[in-house]
Amino acid sequence: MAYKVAVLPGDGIGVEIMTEAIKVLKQVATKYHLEFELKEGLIGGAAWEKFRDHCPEETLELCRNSDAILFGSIGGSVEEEHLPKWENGNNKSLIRLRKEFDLYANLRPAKLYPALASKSSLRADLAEKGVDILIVRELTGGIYFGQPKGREGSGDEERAFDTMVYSRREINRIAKVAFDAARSRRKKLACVDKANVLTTMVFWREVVDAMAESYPDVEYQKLYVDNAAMQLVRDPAQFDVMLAGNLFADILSDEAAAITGSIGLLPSASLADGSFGMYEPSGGSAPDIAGKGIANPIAQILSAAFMLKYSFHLDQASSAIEKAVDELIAEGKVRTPDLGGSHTTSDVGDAIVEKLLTA
Amino acid sequence: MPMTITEKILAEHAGLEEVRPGQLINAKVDLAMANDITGALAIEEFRKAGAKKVFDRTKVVFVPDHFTPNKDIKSAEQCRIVREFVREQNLSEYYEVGQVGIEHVLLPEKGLVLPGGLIVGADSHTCTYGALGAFSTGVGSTDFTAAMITGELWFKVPEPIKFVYTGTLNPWVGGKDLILYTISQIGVDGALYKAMEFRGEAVEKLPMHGRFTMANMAIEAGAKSGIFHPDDLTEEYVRHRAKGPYQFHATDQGVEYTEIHEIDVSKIEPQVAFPPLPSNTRGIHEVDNLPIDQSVIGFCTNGRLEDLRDAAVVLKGRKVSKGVRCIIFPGTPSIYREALKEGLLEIFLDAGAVISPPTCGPCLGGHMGILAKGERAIATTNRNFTGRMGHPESEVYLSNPPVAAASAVLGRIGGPEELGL
Repeated sequence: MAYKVAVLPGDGIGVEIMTEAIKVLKQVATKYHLEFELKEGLIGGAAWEKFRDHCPEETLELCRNSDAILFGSIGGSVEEEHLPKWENGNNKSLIRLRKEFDLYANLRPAKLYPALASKSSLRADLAEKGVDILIVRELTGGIYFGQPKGREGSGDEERAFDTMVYSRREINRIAKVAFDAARSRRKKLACVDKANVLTTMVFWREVVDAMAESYPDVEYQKLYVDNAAMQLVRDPAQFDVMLAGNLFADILSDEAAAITGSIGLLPSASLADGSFGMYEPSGGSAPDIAGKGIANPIAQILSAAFMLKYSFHLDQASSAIEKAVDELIAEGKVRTPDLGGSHTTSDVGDAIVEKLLTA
Repeated sequence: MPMTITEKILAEHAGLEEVRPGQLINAKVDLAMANDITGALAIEEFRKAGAKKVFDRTKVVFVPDHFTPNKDIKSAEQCRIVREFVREQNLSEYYEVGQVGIEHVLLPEKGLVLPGGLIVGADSHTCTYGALGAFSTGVGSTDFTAAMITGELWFKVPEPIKFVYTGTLNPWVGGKDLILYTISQIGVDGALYKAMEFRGEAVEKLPMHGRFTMANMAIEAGAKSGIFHPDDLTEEYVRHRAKGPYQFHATDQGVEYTEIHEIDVSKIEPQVAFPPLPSNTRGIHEVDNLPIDQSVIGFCTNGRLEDLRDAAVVLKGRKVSKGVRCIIFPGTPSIYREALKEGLLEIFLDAGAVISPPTCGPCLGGHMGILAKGERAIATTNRNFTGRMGHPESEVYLSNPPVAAASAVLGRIGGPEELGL
């Protein structure tokens, strides 16, 4: 059986928006005569309710036996975050999954839809030039995971430390993902580092420079991260694919998402070697609107489209979903409240299905 | 005088400085081949001629592939006759069920047919080996017997006809589509008794499996032979498997061709040959609603590993349409095993197809998937004559593997593009 998907809706709006993504996947299956095997599993708070474990063995086993993970969102409200159900949920589940499956390549797009330009924090003339960036973030290494990490000493001399470390292997594999992505997009890659101050980053740049030789068809530029942060708000249209290590890309991808003004629309992919990957919306579980049927499912639907493209190599099917979403947003007729409309989560899913039917 | 690659090979094997089209020559053969059907006939002729030994036990090969594993008593008897002859003559190359593959996929795989060689076979599609830059042609059982006894055969040097393919291939278009298109342009006797020469940038980039497909169907245009210029791709293919020496020849500058055809491949889409001739070909977009009962994929025309991979890409995560029988025919046991290792067979099984042992089977109406009255099949074979795959009132349509696979899913003739591929 090909195309086995582990479906993990999670908490909050995760359940509602996942329902719509599944609806769309089923329509794609009919349209292209495909068979998906969709199996649901529990994660996050929902898993803790049943198993007292945010990432139970049962869920891990399901993921191991699947070709991709379609992930919703996890987490509870800020007021409840100290409760055992929610405490450390992120670490226990998301980070666990990333380590378990060596999901080292995080792809985060930042796209400004012309019809939603008014929501962007950009000046009108900049918004008009459009934003369509893909940030490739190294996800399992760098300063977040480097050893040694700790605290020592006492009094005034007490100190804490982390280690930023990258191996050639780690840099090569993430750089390849970035160059390949650039090749399949507008063929521009910006390598973001701090190659003037940090030894790790000098090495990073060296390794990425070497790989650039194998991609003569990709326009390659290098930026220090502080400049990159400025350029993102000054003139984001200049960027196609941006590559950075864990820390820098964590920050820049949030910045890029924020300038589009519509983080609720953005999907993400976390890829391992081969075709395995985890696909989830960039946004969170929005517990305050959970259960109200008004959450925006577009990010989840686009995450499913990412899955079709990056794990299953079903490019046409993936593009068909993206095209339907582009049209829906441009038309502006069916919108959830976050985009100024009054339609429901389910209305949006149905509208996308309708577009796929008639395309 | 300038000579073509075909003429050079013939001249060399005839021990002549040069040969001209139309000339009658006697040439030594590097290999003589027959199958279970033609072999049994030939052995009878061998006895009638009073011959006692074949000319060279290492250069006569029998490949029982048509009605094997034994289709019925008659076929079993034919195979027995061949088997006993092989034993009697102590032939060095023989392949029993378990090692045997479809002859025109097996012999190149085993390195028994090589660039610069001269091969005759008691089977129409012996022209396949021209893909390696060899002169290779099908002959009748009696001629094969003569070659078996003397190691020589007479030939009339064929006139050369050149096909130049330019441009870039469209998605899902491969060797099968190029040759079907070519035959549709010149007709089933458009290259009658001529030596087809396949040239141009598009075929220079064509991988070996596509070249074998094209050369395989040279006979369907009436040609004596079909040949490709050997190059780096050829070298890569033969280097580690060659069972003997080989030589690369090339056509001289200034050769005069009887005809030259220029074909822009960028205008070609996947092709479907309608019954009753391989020349009755249309583009996939010109095909209306034609429901099918059977889809057979593989064979000497399209049964190589790359062909199976192409079919698997289409069938992966999909199911054969209800009511359609889909049968896969890997060309040889090696290909079967590789397909197994690569997970292709699992894709086929999951889709609801079945996998046959390597055999010509239904291609010539033998076994393993015969058609009933009124049934329609799409096949990656090379012939769609009336009654070819069964009942005289059944129909066979020819295509490449991705189209045959897509049709199995759709339940009617259609291409991979309809499945979003």
